Amino acid sequence: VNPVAGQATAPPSFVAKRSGARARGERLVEALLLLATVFSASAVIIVFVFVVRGAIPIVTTNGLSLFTTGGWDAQLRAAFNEGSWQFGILELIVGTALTTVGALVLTLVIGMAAALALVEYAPARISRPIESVVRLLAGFPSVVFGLVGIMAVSPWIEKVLITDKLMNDYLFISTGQCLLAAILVLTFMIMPFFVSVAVDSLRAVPNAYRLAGYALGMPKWRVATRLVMPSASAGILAGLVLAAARGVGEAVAMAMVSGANAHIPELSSGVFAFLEPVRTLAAGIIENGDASSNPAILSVMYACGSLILVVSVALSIASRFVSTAFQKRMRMMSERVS
Amino acid sequence: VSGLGRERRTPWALFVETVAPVLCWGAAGLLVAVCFFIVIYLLQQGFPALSWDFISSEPLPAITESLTGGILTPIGGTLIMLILGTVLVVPPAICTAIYLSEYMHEDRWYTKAVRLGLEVLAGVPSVVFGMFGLAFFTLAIFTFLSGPAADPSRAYGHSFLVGAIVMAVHILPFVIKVMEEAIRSVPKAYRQAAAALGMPKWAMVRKIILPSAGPGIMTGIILGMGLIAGDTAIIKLCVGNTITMSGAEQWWLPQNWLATITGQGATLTTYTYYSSAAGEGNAPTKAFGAAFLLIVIVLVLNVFIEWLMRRRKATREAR
Repeated sequence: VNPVAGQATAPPSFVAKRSGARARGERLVEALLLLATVFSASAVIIVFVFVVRGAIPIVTTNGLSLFTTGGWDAQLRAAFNEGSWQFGILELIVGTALTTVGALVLTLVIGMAAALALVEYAPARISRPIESVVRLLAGFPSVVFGLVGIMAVSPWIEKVLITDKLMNDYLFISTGQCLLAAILVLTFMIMPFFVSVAVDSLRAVPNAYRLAGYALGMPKWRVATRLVMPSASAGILAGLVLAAARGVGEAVAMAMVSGANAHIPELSSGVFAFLEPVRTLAAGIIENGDASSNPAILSVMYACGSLILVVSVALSIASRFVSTAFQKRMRMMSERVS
Repeated sequence: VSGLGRERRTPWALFVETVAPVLCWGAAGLLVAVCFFIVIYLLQQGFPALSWDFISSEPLPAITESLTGGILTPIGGTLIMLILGTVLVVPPAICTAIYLSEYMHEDRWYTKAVRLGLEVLAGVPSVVFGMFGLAFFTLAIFTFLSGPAADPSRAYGHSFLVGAIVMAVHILPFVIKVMEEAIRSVPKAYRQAAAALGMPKWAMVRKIILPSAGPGIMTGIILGMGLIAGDTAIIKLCVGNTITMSGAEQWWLPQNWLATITGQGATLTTYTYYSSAAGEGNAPTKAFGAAFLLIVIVLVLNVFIEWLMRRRKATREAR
């Protein structure tokens, strides 16, 4: 459809002399568009300044011990009741690291397998609807994941995995809201993002590479894992880093399923450490949304926010560099085969 | 690449080659199963709560679940956020997308800086935006957005308007990305034809490029709406912790709209959080009902996006 076809016979209304007014109008429009662009691109700087600035009071009163000591639950009560300014967020840092790493491991294993099935094995008429479902899963609100986690996953863990003997021997709390529940829920929240990127990366590998593998007598599975996957590894890594950034920042679902205690799982409990509660940085912020009139709690919330901000920004920049390198490599590869 | 060829086809290798694809299919099936499980579980658990009464009455703070009322104000809150957020995000998003695709020189250092800025913005989690809103919109000059705080040198900082502005900044990079892609995919021949007719650049953008990129721009808007409807952290931190509207009692009347959007309230997401076992409300059936409604909204928006994508593909092929 050509939108200007009908105007071809009569002189079109927009063809005017390049008068001064017209040129000024053009320049004005361009300036306005530039203004919007500068605003959009610099918003992140304003966000950064205001979040980090809020964290200064608590960092100056506690120094480095803010990041190296714990005791969150008691400190929160003391701040609320006595106006104490003493805080340590080590438990929250460990909680964030454990949930994110745990979910990343599961995402890498399950998500990679799913991506291989979608690209290397499934015909388009099967892979396309599955990819739609994956996009849909990525769009589910986090509170929905949290609700399913707290109403279905946690009770299941409590019923099936937590026995009376376990409670006597290891656990100090018996609800199913624990590290394991948090990891399971977070896995399916970040996996859709990873699978989308992994699928795109595997698809970007030139088909000639696969054909060359088959010509050498390599079975399909070996072509997929020894030829295609290594070639796409940078893209897959970019997807994993992106998923990590999402995991670090997930607040609501983690507040709902990770348990009500800031607690570092005991290494001595072995695998049962997964059944102990944790608290993440983002969950620590969300839970204290009501207490933001207390200056100490507010400032420690900013400290948690700053930490999340720095980590997720670092991860997204890393992801960008890795994926730029990957695209360059894929261009080179397709030039080489053509 | 090492270890090519057949020399390694031991029985173990044969076993792996047979079993591994099955496991891969299993993983893909698991993802699909989880998606269906969530939808069916919410439908099954939330269905008893769904009734006209549930949708048309306001929530009440009560310990007994049967007295906790309905979700009229959270539905209203979600609608308000959808409208305000979309209205606020679309102008800067379209302008930025046009500038990036039509006006900017690709290889300059500032182009790279702008792209990096947008990418970093996209990587900031919504809970951090919530904290930003708490810091920025409590400045005294923003009192007109949310009213004064107890301390007169600060603004209160919680209102639908504040939440919508923060939300617009949060979803901006995602919306820009889709819109820019849509504008870039307009064929070069259209631009050349317009230039040959002597069209000024802005007229070309307005009359030819934007209409041709319409479905793609719409996709960006719908995607943004999905993000707005699904977010909890920004709402909880910036719109407030109430379950009803704090602005005016008859919040739906036009003369009260200003009071409503400068007041606090809830959306379906914060109501779900409040009513779940994790929040103060503890009315799980109501939480499931609200979550079910949320999923319906997400599903409808998703179907719309898939339809737009298919239409875009069809027009691309027609060109």
